[in-house]
Amino acid sequence: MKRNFLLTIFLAILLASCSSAYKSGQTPDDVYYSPTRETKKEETKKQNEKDEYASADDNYLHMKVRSYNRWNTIDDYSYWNDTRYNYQCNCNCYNYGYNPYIKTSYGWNNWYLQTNNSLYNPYYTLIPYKNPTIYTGNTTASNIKAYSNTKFSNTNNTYNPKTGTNNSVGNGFGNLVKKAFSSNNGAGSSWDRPARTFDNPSSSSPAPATSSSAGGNSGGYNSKGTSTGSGRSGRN
Amino acid sequence: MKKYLLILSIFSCTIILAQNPDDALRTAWFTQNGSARNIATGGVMGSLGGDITAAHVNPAGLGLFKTNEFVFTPGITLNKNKFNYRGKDTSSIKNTFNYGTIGAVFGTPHDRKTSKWASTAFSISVNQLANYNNKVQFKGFNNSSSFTEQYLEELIRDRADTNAAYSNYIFGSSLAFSTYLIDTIRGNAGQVLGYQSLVPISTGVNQDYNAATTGGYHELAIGVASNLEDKLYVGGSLTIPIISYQKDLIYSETDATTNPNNHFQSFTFKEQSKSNGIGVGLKLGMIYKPQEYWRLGFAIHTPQFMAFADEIRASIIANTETYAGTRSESSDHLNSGNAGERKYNLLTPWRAIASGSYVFREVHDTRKQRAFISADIEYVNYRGARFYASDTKDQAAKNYLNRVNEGVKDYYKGNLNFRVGGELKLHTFMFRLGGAFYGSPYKSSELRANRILATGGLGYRNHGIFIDLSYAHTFNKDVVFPYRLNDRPNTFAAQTGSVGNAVLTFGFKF
Repeated sequence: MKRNFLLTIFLAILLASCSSAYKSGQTPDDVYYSPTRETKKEETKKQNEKDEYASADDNYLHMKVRSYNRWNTIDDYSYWNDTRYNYQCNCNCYNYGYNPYIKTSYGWNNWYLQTNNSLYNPYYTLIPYKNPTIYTGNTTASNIKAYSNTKFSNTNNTYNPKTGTNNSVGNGFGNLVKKAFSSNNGAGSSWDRPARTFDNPSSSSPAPATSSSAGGNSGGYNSKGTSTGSGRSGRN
Repeated sequence: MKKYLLILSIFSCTIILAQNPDDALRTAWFTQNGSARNIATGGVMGSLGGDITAAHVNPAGLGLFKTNEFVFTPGITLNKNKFNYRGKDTSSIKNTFNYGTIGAVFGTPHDRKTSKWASTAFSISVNQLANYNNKVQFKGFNNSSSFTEQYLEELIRDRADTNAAYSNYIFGSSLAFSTYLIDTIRGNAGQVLGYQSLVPISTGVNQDYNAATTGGYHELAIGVASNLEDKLYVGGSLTIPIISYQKDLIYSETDATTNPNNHFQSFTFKEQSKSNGIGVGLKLGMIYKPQEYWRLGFAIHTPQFMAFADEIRASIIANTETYAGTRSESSDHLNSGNAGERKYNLLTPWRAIASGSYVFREVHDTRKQRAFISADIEYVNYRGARFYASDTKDQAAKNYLNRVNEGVKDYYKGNLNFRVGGELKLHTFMFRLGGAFYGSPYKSSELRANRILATGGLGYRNHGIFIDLSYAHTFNKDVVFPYRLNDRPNTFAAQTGSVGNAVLTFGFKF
């Protein structure tokens, strides 16, 4: 088991070493945001061109250095460049006013190559970010019915050594025990045994007879074979 | 007489012991397991998404994937059980391997120019929903009831004669009868008035319960989810539950006195059972983003339809001193060396999950992703488990299983589970905390049971790989019954203790 365990870990590491898509650059975290394939390609391209941590912010800073007045009013580049809504102007979108900070396949903020190849169109389409077996004979299944017994007790009874009984007899359980005697007459020669008896027959409602087929095939377990027992042998 | 019994036993194909409500609970009352990230955040996955564990909780969460990833999650479980049985404390330890979610997700973004569906994701994964590897041990003095009384009740209620007592209950009552652990009560004319146990209950016995369980509840899930405009996610998983469960029970009662003439010294009952099941089910869900940062989720797990095949072997060795001496009997001896077998179907309880998450921030730049907090509330209808006969023409089997189903309805109830967790993300490093509360499945308020989890973990994600480490500490409270009786108060062991679950997830994006 341990060998299989270690082998599996080794295989996982081996497979991981073959992973190349995100070896450089940021590793997507799909709980927060899952980038599209296009984004992945662009990321890879950018990473090849720039430092490992060249990100959207870096682009923004580069542009801000070049033209401070134009870019100064924007403070969150990622917000405006959410790739989920990068429709590049040719889908069914709405105009939300002037937003020059758009990424196109031609590069960042390409002012003159936009929708319908028109020249200078300051209105850009953007969707707001905020959308983001058994059997029987006859069994009464007493073991199952016992689940419906909601009386519980985890305390012991008080034993009376003189009578050989405990106080459970006085609690209505007297009919569930049977007094036993030892042939050896001495101290502790009598005690109670758990016992159950069949209903006492009466003239008006005689108890049903006992049966040899009771429980037969009951309880869910089938037996394949036959008994190799020869009946219960007698006591000594 | 012996000849008669031999002939009778040859023609009677027998049995007893049965499915019981405990079998149903085993498939329903367990804490959330998954990836290390999921475990570290208390198991929340009802609305969060973006983790392969979503396939096993709310498949809509797969819809957040537009990338591909592979995940592997080995772990270790440390069981530290404490039992109090009739005032006596016992403890046991069992450590074992386990695993969380293992599998792959394939996210496919769509061309938004032609479709409102932003992406579709597919996953195949396996997860261990429950780990059955454990050791349950307790002991105590009892002068109120005996394990053997369940046999007396069975024979009396079934009105079994001595032939039936010897032949038709070969995994329980017949073993006790054969060894004279139980015997007849006869009238003056020799007629059978009832049955008695040789256990001297008034002076008491020392009871010892020792069960070793192995196996697990595994789930293979094939998940599909779609993403509508990054606002609504819908998904479903076809699940294949696979259960393997083995239990080796050794139960004994020993005379608490030194009296050599009270007709009882001890008995030991041994039972080896195993249960294997496989089935099919569905998990369906949706996640909706009403506004930035917020996610609301809802999922429903249909009952899992499972087919089981069980086997059992049992034996008793009893020393009744001068009454009948030391005798032993086994089900193998009474069944040509074969194990008892049973086949049946089970519908596990359905469950529903409602959830909310706040994810700050949902942006591309991983350096600006900061944190999330999420909470799940789950309802599990424990009393909804149902057994069905695999042979629909077997009326006796159907009758029996109907009684088991009535027992399930009497004994269990539906209840709620709560999970909450969060993460603080500092670019490539993540810190997580969580907690959970699982309510009692038992209808009776006297049976105190719950599970409280405290969870935490760390994560690292960079260079296309991610490594997450989590630890979940579960405070257990439960009850274990060594046997059950109809006409006496039942006794049980109160279980406390804890389960430690350390899990490592290793994954990579591709």
